[in-house]
Amino acid sequence: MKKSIKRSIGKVLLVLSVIVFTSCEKDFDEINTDPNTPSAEVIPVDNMFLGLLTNIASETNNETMAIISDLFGFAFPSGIAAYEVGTASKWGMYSSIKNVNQLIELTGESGNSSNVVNNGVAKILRVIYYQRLVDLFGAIPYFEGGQGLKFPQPKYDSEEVIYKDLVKELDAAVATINSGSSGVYGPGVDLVYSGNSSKWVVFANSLKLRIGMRMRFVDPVTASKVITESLSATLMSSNEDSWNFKYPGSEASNSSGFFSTTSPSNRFVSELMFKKLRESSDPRKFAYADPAGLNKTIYQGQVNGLNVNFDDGAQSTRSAKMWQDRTFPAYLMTYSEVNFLKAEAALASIGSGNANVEYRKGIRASMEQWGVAEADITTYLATPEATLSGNEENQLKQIAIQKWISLYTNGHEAYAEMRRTGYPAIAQRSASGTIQRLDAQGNLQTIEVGYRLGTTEGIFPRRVEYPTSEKELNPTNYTAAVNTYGNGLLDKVWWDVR
Amino acid sequence: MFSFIGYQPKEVRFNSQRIINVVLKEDAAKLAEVVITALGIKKEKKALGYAVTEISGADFNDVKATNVLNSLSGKVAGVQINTTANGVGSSSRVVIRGNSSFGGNNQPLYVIDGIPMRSSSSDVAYGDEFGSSGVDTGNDHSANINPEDIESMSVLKGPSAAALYGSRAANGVILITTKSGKIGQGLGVTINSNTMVEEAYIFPQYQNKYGAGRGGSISGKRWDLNPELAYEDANGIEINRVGDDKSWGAQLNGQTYRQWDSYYTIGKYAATPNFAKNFYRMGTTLSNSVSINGGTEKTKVRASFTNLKNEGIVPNSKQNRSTVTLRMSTEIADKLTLDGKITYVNQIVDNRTVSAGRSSIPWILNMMPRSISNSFLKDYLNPAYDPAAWPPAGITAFNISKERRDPSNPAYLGLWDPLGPKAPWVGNPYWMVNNHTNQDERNNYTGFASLKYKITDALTAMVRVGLDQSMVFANSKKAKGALRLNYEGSYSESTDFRSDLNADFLVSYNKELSEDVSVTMNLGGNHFRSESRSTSVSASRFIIPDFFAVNNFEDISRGNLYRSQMDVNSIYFAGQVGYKNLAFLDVTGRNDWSSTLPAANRSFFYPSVAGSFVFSDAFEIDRDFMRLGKLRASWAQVGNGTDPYRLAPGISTGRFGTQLTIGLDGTIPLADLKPEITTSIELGTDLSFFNNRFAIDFSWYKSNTVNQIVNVGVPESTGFTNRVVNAGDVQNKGIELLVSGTPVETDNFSWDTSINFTKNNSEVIEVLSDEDVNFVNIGFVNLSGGNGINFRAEKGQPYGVIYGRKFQRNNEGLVVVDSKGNPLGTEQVLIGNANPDWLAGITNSFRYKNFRMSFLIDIRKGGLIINNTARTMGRAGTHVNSIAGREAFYNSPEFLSLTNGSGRSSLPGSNFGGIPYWTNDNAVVQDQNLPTDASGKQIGGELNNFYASPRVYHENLFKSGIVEPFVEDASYVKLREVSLSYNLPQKSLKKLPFRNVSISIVGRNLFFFHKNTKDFDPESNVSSGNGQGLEGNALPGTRRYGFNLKLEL
Repeated sequence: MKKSIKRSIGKVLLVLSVIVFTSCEKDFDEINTDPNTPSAEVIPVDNMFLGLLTNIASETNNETMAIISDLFGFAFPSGIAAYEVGTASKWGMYSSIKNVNQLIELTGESGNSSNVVNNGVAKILRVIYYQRLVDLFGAIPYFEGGQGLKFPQPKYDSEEVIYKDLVKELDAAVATINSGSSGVYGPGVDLVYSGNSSKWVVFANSLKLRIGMRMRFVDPVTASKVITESLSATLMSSNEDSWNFKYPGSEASNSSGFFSTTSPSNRFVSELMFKKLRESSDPRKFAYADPAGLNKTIYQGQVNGLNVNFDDGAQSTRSAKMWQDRTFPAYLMTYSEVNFLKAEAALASIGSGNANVEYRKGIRASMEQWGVAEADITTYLATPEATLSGNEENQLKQIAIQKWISLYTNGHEAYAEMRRTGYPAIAQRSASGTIQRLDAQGNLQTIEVGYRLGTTEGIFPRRVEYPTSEKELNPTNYTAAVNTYGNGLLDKVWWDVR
Repeated sequence: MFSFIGYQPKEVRFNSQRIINVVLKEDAAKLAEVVITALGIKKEKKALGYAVTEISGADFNDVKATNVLNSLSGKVAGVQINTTANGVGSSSRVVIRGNSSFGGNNQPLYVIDGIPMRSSSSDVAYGDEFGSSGVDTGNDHSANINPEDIESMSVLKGPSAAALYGSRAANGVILITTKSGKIGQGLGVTINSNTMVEEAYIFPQYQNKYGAGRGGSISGKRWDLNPELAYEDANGIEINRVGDDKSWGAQLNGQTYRQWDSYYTIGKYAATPNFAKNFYRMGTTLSNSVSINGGTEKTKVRASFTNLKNEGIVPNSKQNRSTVTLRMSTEIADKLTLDGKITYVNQIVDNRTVSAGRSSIPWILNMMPRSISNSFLKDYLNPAYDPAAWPPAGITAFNISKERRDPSNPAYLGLWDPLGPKAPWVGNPYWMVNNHTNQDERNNYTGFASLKYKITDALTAMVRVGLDQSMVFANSKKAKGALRLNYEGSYSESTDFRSDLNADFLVSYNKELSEDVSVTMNLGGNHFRSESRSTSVSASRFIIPDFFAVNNFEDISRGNLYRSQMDVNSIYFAGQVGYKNLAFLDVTGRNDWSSTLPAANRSFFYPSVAGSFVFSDAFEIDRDFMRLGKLRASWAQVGNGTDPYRLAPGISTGRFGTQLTIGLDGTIPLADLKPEITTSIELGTDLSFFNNRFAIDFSWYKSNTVNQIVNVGVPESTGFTNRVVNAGDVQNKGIELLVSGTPVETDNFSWDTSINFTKNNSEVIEVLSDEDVNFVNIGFVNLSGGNGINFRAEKGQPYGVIYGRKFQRNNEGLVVVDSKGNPLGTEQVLIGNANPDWLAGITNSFRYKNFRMSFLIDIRKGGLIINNTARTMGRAGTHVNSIAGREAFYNSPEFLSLTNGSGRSSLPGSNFGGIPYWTNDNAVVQDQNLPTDASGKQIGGELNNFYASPRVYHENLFKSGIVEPFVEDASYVKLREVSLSYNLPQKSLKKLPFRNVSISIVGRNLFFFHKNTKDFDPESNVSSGNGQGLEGNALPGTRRYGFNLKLEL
């Protein structure tokens, strides 16, 4: 008895020691493999592409940018309304650029998922991101940006250099796509052009036109060359060609960014926008917003920058079409914008187009995009507003304002074009102004209200400041960039010369 | 020759009914000469080369804290306990000898009966009004241990003491030994009943002068009078409008008004000074336990059951914890002992307090207009109003009946109809506690089985398997209703499973080689496997109102699933050589293999050496004068692995309908990760005099933690936000002193006293050596609109310094304001840190015959705490600070000269009245044209002659995120514990069926002798995470008192 126990104890001890000693590292690689996410070596490019598209879409509909460009007006006493732009989130686009770079590598010649069409489309996405960044911040890390520890402290490049390289990149992307034949990524992934690679080429050509036009005032020679090249390529020719991300809307996670599970409250349309729409009896106001007031008849916007908590119901909320439709798309670039770009090119005598014809096509395209009835479109096109008139400057103003109206929901582009053309102009805000609000009987009353002026003292900002994380973590390059290009909210970016 | 005091005397000590700190006991016969050290090895205290503090179970059983960790406060030198004021089941932070790790939780390892237990505390998400904020889910089972079951606790402070527990012990070890039955003692039954009440007594300083309104009037008519607006009803009674639900109204003089919380009620505009106090209730804690123990010659058994019922001061918040333990040990064969234990804990906590924002009860009570009465809000289910006479636009109802929240009912409010009534800023707390609820249920199974075989007298072998598993089910319910954030209702549910397995073997050899030399050797191995699984699902927008089931919601987010596993295998040895029982040398070594590290660095070894020298014996000092004189020294290292899955590049995934989106994670991994290493040195002495009537225990230590595995920031322009590095060096240096004595000791009366003192200085010596990275952010709290505070480990600073915004000042130090008199904030600058300068505890206990009285005074000196309560209440106009300047402003010529409708809301201030703060402070006006000095400060400037409107001032101060005026000193002197107990004398017991009866009256946290924070208890941290030093609308400070009855059969 005693001996057998002794023996069995000895055995147990022996077994245990053997287990511990021999299996010290057995299976450790397997144990330390994360079961929750796929490994980086086998990233499916389709899912990565979809991730980028959803990100671009939500960035397009970004409310911060829409408030700055006076497309939307919120009643919150927020810093944004006082032009105190929160920058950290915008600089965060670099996080997506890192993913684009990875996608380009994976789809490139030596990548695991090599495919020329996919590679070309990925390059177009990178141009979209970088143009947004450079338009917001001016000089930014470009050639060394978004590459992880390869460039742990990326250098800043000038806007001019970046702009010229963006054109090159687009040309290369188009050439790459054209050298292949298969569709874009897997089925159900390309929620913009449904896998039609030629539409991506059309978009790239149109984007090139946008980029060229942006340089028009600062570098007319390059701009003219780029615009001429793009005009001779295939551009968007109908609303079907517009870059819009189509949310499936089958559940909350794939629903439109404008879809609200709560309510439209405090989601108002900007009063500046409404003023333009009211002045010209623009039928788009019905699509852009729902009326306010007891009888639902009041189309009245919200002035950006109000410092009072304003919820008396005098402001028209964003339309139910927008906040209740789970599939409401994100428009990155529309056929209507292309028409306005062509109109401006014609106005500047670049190419052979007719400015007025393109201008009217732009208005029609925008109205059709928003589902305005044909009769209303015809009526509107008959108003003097819909025909270019006056001197070149006045015509430019007409084009710019119509384009701005058509850019509703796309704050990034609206903000850039306001700065480039100077239209619509936003005057320096004073500390108080008037606004209409409802009284107890539901009638409008004009009252005076105050605004926060923010650090720019109410002046429309010309750029966005670098985030403090750059200052802290990339100090040398940051300081060099600030010394060369400035970093004030009122410092203009390169192409902002008017 | 010295008499060797072996186990028998120890047994006597443990059976003792005396309730004082055992380590300090001066009675020669009961001197704690044996303590339990790592691996449960009992050692003579004089043989120890490092500091161990042992506390007997009685010390935390007497005055029970619901979280047993809080009972350590003030009792052990070198240990800091930070509590939170988060209500029932909330967590505490235990730190031994300072914080050392950037990324780890810095909390000790708990070892219960030899089985290491997972320890963590809840790092509560704390946000601003709109931000995400969470609930404090308490500590892991370290806090759930039933104090009744504890025999003793040993605090192993330095890595020397803890080296044998390996990597998990880098922050020290708290060794808990639970009670077991006694061999050959027959059957014994102990019944213990403890009843405590909890009373809220520290409230913020509310103002009671002004009620809800705007611009000094109830309806706002003094502010922006517009003849067309309904400021008064047909009878000329002023209406308090919905937007005006902060306390910026008229003076509270009992006038009649229609209040914003219900248009239908004509109320009295009067202060409710005790609004918050009336809302809270008296908390109660009932703890009842019964334990049975018995023993035969070969077997000892103990079984116990304890139930704890705790009803918090917030109505509807409660905790119910039941613990069942069975411990059995038996000699199954000659020299072969089987020991086993199983414990089951079930704990259900209802309605933990939400830490911040609109779902937080204390926040609501602090923001509530001072003119609202409790009785009105309480009545929310029965508002006797007529749906047909629903108020016109712009007027709202606060009290919302269930019918009115039901869309199928004709009286449905349609809360978000732009013309309909709207939810006010703050919710109805009475409605909230019943309709925004949370619950979690923890089921915890722990147990072990061990076999010990005494091969020879000198050689013992043991194998043991221990398991610790817990399952937590939690849910959060938000009914459809009056809160802006959640008007359509939501529900979330989660399940967390955790399991820790430890398999051990240990061979011990114990031999006296000669008369002078004794040797002890231990060789052991451990296999540790830690696993976790969690799932969660959330849903929003009811289909059928107020029915909480996931499928009853329109939007269901797909469940989040997470699982992880890590293994650590170890081999260790410990050897001790003793010479003539007066000099001892201890050597330990341990090698770990951690699955979390790369193959090349997976295996790491760390040693320790400790020695002690009993000079009183060596030099034959008179034993009547000096009973013990010992010097000790130790050097030790502890290595530490990391969390699983940190080596390979991370992938972040997201759901997009039925599709998956993928991107690279923002963290750049370090493939060549090395283990963290903590190296410490400790020197100390133990002295006891006059037959142990007076003793001193002193330690000095220094520890450095290097190779820290931590995420440091990289410029976002790299595409990433941070990367994993092995970097940093955090040093903690400090002293611990324990002085104890028995000034009086007679047969009938004795007085024991002790003072412990702790001073720890931490310094971040280095963050990243080869680059100019000087700090690591270890936490961020958003206070308003993205402005907040950062907790940092910064080179040259103590661990955990706070960065936040201060007032901008000119070269002369004067506050700079903008042209409208608003304060300007700096960027984030160093504010200070929450580490105390020193801590001390003073215990006195008196015994007179069968009576015993003892009290503990707990002292903390230094360290800051940010008063976010005053900051947020200032904006709401409810804090006393917000009174200043109101009358002056409302009577200023600028204000009075304004005509109707002329936009007073744009009026930022006046030249004659308002908040005099800046003018008194001689603030200067910002002027971009003035030169600046080298540090960028404006030189000079025109003195500001602008008074601010108090409302504008407090709103701007809040929005700016400037914390400078809210930094307070967290020092305190607190009466931590008091108890008075009476043991029935043996004479009387003879007539009763009891062996022992004792009754005590006890109190905990009864009052402060001194504190500097006026609005809260300085121990009200928002979280028990690494970022310490922020308070914010916590529950009020409470005191607890009650009685204890103990019966032994």
